[in-house]
Amino acid sequence: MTALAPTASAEVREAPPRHEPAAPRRRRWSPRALLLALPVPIAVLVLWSLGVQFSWNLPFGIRMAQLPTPSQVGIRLADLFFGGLVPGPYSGDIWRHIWASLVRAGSGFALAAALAVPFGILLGRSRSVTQLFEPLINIVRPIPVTAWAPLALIVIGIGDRSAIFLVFLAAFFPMLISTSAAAAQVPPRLLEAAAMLGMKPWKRMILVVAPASVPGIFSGLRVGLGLAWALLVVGEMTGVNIGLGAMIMEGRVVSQIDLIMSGMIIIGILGVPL
Amino acid sequence: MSITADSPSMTTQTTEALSFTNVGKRYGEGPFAMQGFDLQVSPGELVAIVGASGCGKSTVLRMIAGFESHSEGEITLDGNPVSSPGPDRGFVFQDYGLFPWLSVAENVELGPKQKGLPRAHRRDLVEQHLDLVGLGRVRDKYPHQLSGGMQQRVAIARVLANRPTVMLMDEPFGALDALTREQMQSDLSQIRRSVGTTVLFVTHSIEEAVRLADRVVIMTGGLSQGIPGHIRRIFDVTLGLDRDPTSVEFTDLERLISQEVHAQG
Repeated sequence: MTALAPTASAEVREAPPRHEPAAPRRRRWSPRALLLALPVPIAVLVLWSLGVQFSWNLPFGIRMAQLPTPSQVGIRLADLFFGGLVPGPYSGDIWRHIWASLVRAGSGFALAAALAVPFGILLGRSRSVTQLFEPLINIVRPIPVTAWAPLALIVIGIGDRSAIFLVFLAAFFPMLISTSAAAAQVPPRLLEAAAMLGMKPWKRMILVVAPASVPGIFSGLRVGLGLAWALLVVGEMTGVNIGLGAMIMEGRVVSQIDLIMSGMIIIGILGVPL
Repeated sequence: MSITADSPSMTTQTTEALSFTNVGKRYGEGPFAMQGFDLQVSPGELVAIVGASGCGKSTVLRMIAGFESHSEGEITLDGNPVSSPGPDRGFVFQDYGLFPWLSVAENVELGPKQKGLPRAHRRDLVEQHLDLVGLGRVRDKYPHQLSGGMQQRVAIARVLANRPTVMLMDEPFGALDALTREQMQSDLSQIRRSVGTTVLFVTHSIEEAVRLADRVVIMTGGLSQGIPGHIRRIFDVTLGLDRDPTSVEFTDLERLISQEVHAQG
């Protein structure tokens, strides 16, 4: 997902958070940590394998017999990336789908950020803007993106634009709320200081409120980016042909469960850096 | 040495840097938090305001700055009524109010930038005022890298770079340790004499007021007292330039003011 980072930071580049104490450092992988990271995934694989072999029935009515074994999924994954193992339209062709998904998630996210950040700042600072928009936002925000999908299909039509629109919706509100909360909490002292130094009110939005809100804006962007990626499958259920979500949907149609699970695993792994 | 107490007297307004005429303040339709506030400050004068918490001494500064409105009366700066905040009234906050994402030099440059001064001129102003407060060496540091005393020096430089008519200081040294505080006091005396700015200074410390001020205004009352905040008395301080806080004259005046601050009614 690093391809998206420049778009994300471009929104707030005028205000690098230089004053922020260094972000909590990522855990370094010590040998001990590496050793502790292994047992749980291995146990899951073993249990999965046993469950399929002995046709376990789990709560929720999960019938393990329906699933492919881990090794079948592993072979499918290898085939998706390198080809030559499972003949079919997806063999060795996964890169195209990953790229299409990244571009869609990236466009939807960038669009959402470009609108949510300035609008969020206004919303956080102006009582009348809040009073104007808050009722609408409060009603629209809880509508899940899945509920938008049928409407988008009819109004926008099948294709890229529907998918990007749905990703946009998923990412927009968390970024809006986070930005406006940050903008509302800018210390009044900084605005007073800017005012007594002769800064015009509209300039204070850009030169004081925006930089002072950078930590909140960034956490909103992060949440938004994660959601954009997570809701990609929903966006790509709207009848596009390429993309990880489209691949998963195709796997359902043709009952290739190993294809579905491979798609899920790829989405999960690509989402880790987010 | 002479200690004279003069009542707030009306003089011709045109010669005053700053003038309050019958200023009152109330919040909404509530009772008056301050009423009948009259004060004239001459150009170049340093006036300290002391008084118990809640008497409205900070509100006086905030009304001049334009951060708060006044409900009646008139506040004028060089004869012009004040309304919204402006660079002619610099404010030094107790908690500095520096912009943490700007370097020391950028903080000081902000005011001149708002005036649209050319870059070379701005750089001169920055250098000149950082030198004035003795901070030329840290121009590229960020506020969080500086001690409290140094941050407050930046805040003073930032205000003075704007060449304000009056510098408003709201307990500027209240958050500093005793040693730094004393150093800042003597530096402020020097700075304001070399720059000639009018200063209105709010403090909790009577010693600080006597040490720095040409006049000490004692305020009393306030909403919690049930009477509007007002000026009880104004003392002229005629102790000369080098004031010794241990001298008899100094401590006498300090005691007199303290009695007035703590007197009832």
